Amino acid sequence: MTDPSPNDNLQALWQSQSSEQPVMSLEQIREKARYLERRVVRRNRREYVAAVFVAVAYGGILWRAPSAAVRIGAALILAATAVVCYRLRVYGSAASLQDNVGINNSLEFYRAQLERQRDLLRSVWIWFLLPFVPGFVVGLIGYARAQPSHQAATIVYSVLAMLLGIGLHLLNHRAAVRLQRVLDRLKDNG
Amino acid sequence: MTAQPEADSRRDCLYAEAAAAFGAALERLARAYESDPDRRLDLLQEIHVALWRSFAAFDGRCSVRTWVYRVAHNVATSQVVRRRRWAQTFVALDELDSMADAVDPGQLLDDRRALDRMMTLIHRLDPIDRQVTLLYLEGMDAASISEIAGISPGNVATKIHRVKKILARRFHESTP
Repeated sequence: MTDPSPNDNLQALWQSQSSEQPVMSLEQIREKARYLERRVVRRNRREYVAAVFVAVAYGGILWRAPSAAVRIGAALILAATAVVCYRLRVYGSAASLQDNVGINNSLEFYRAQLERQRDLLRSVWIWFLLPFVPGFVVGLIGYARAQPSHQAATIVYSVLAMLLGIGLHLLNHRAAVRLQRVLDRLKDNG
Repeated sequence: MTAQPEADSRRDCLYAEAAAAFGAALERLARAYESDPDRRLDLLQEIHVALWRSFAAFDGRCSVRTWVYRVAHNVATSQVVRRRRWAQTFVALDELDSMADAVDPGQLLDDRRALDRMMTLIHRLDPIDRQVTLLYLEGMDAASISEIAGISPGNVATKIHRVKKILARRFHESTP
């Protein structure tokens, strides 16, 4: 008989770690499952509350603004909000990766997660930023025409908003590139 | 009419057996993915919930052990991927192998410190290499690891070789 190798000792050491958590009963499991479902419902509710807030704010502009262009801009923002809500709903209810949590092996599951996140980052500007651009532009033009004395401030505001949009897009693009690098490295594991 | 209660009962039975057989291993796995105690407990509970839910789809095409480890690692990986900036912080086994040791490998360690050092190494690994390392530490052979992780057996063997090399270099003379 030979002595166990040092790595055998490490495996034994690893497996000898004592358990610190009590076993959950089935009722506790069900309660935790219900809690996790409620957490998703709460998150969705927060998004809808934000949408209602936008709808109320721009609904007020739509109702009260003296300029037709500003009203059209507000209407377009409301339409964009509806589009984004719809996309969030579709995305949120799409077949969850969690459904395949035991069927997919870890490499498939990990790759799917990364691809999903990468695609989301790549498309944020299309489905989250772009829909608001027409309403924003039309509204600002209307405001500048209605308030010629505020034109300089309007231009500064437009440039800042544009820079913010570009900055967000670049940040997301950089994160997507980083994820793609991780995905490329995963190919070596096949 | 009785199909659903029967399915629920089967799921409950499968879960109860799996939790009894692999509960301790799942706890070790949660420790290897999460160092913060509160987050670790959350992760462990999420793994148990996912496992319980997942048994509704268990069709016996793989062993219960393979299923349990797939679910657990996939849930833990989801948690890692959800975090911002994670992709910049993890390294692969080959990178870890080429890094200089931060600690003196000849230093004598007690069990606690050896485990802490092992955990520090594991926390640095990217999800797939971390999984291979953990399954190796759980005593699994390359074929079982390949089935769970979805990596070719040849690649698993290479990774295990690297794991052994790293562990031997850093713990060879220091394990009790």
